[in-house]
Amino acid sequence: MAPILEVLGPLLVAAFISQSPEDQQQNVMVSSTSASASSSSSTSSLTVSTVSSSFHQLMLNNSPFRNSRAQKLIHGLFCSSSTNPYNHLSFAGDAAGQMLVSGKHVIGGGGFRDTNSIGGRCLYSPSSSSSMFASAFTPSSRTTATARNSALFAVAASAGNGMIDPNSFTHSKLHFVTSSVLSLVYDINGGGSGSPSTSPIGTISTSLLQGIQQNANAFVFMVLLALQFGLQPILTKKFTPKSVNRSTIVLTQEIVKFIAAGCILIFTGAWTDAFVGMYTCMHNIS
Amino acid sequence: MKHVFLFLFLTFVVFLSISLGWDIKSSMMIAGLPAALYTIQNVVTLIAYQNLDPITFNVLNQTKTLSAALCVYLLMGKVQSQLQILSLGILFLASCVIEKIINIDEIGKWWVSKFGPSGSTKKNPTEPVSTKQEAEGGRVQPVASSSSSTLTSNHAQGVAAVLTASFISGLAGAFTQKSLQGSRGRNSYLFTMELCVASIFFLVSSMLVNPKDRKQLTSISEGGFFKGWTPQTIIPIFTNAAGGIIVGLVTKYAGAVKKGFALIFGLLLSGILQARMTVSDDQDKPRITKEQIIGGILAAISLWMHSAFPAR
Repeated sequence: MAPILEVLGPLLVAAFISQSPEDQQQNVMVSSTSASASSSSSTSSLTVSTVSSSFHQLMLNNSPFRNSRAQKLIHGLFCSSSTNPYNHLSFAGDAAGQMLVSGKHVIGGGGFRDTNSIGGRCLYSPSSSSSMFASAFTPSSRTTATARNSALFAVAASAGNGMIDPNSFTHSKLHFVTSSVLSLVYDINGGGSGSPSTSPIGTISTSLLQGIQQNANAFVFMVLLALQFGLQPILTKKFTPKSVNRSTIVLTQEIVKFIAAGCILIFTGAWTDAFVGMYTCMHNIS
Repeated sequence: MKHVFLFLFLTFVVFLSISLGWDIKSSMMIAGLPAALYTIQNVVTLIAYQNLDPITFNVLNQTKTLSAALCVYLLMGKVQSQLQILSLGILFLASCVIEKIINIDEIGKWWVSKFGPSGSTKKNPTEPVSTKQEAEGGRVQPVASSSSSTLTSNHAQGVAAVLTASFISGLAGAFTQKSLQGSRGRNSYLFTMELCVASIFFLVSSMLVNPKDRKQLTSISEGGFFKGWTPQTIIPIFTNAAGGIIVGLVTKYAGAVKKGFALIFGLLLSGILQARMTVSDDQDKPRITKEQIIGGILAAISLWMHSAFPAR
């Protein structure tokens, strides 16, 4: 049965997500059991609503990940039960940080697997059209889209068959993390006898974490700059013989700089953006 | 081989043009002139590195702030705050001190006679000045007395090179700023890449066209590209490239003020390392002179003041 569900799970989610965005929005609005809570950053909020007996829907508003590159994001929804925490349903997790969260772009997760194998089978769609659910999202896939203002998740589960009924799970945790800057953790109460709700776990402050991370980054870069600035004249004087052809040194310097800048652009995922930004600005000027 | 490179380069350009909306004309318009200037700057900076003490280089190299302020004002009408102007004055002072244009011994004597303890110079009127200075500054005296003789031709060449590089740096920076004015979306790494390509283009063109530089091309074709290199030569090349990227990251994550602090610590570090590690050519000459110490301190104050009090 489990393998069947493993196949059917994503399809169920797909069936839900393949509704038009307007329909999805309507689902959120008509839901009588929706509840929301603001995160510690006070600008973001996560709303959970019951769509049907099999689905919960989560909406992250004012995503702090907006404008982040998708590759940098790690999103995971770890659902658990009191008896077997974090072991029944993993959802939309992608330990390699390849999951996309983007405005009207929808992520569905169907990987009914142990959370030990986070990543499972996550489905995603690059567009908001009705045919958005084209293929399974595998951990090796990469996307270049940019996260936007809000994100919509669908939580799917089937009661029985060893799976968790979304109305009965408790202490679930939704953890949004970027690779280096932001972290948001929500506790999700699946409802059970009451209403589903979300609440931010207060111990992790996004803004604080962001500040700490940025300060740490800044400090490391400052140390590196001081070292480079202090050592450069000594290193150059010591290791660059006067007899050397200076043009070859300068030429090599330029080639190294070119490669380094190119690598940074590619590995930070900013390659396309760099050109888009340039095009946009040129367009604006004209 | 040459044709293969040309083909690959053109393919790359066409790919960028078609797929990403990049075009070589606008790129060259923006990056061309600064790149030509940066190419010259890189060459003269190398000459300066090879001929100057680390701390002298770093202090004199900061005069690029002066030239940048001047060029940005002339080209763009951007003014400095009063404290920034003061800091530039201090920087100029630091350069004069380090180059011994301002004799700090004379200033010291004048200061002691004017504000020092009354009669301090009269207590031992027969005491030779050299003995007193030896007691104060150890090995400083012989250097101070032979300051003019230490200005060797290599040193002069280094000073001329670093001042030229600083001026060009300010000019190129101002041109870059002017070129990029209004184009807020241009990615700095992409711009770095454009500058690199343009610099390589200018360097190779210069070697092909300029008869003086053609000797270098002949030297490369005869002795190979890496003639005169040692395996360690690549180290400063990498640190230089890394430095360019780190400066951008510090500015982004920490801001200009903290960048100034990082440079101050770098200045301090180069002073410490020069005092401890480098070997002086002249055994009588200390590894670090008091002019370099005072010049370094003045440059550090200037760096802090210039970054901490920008014009509103």
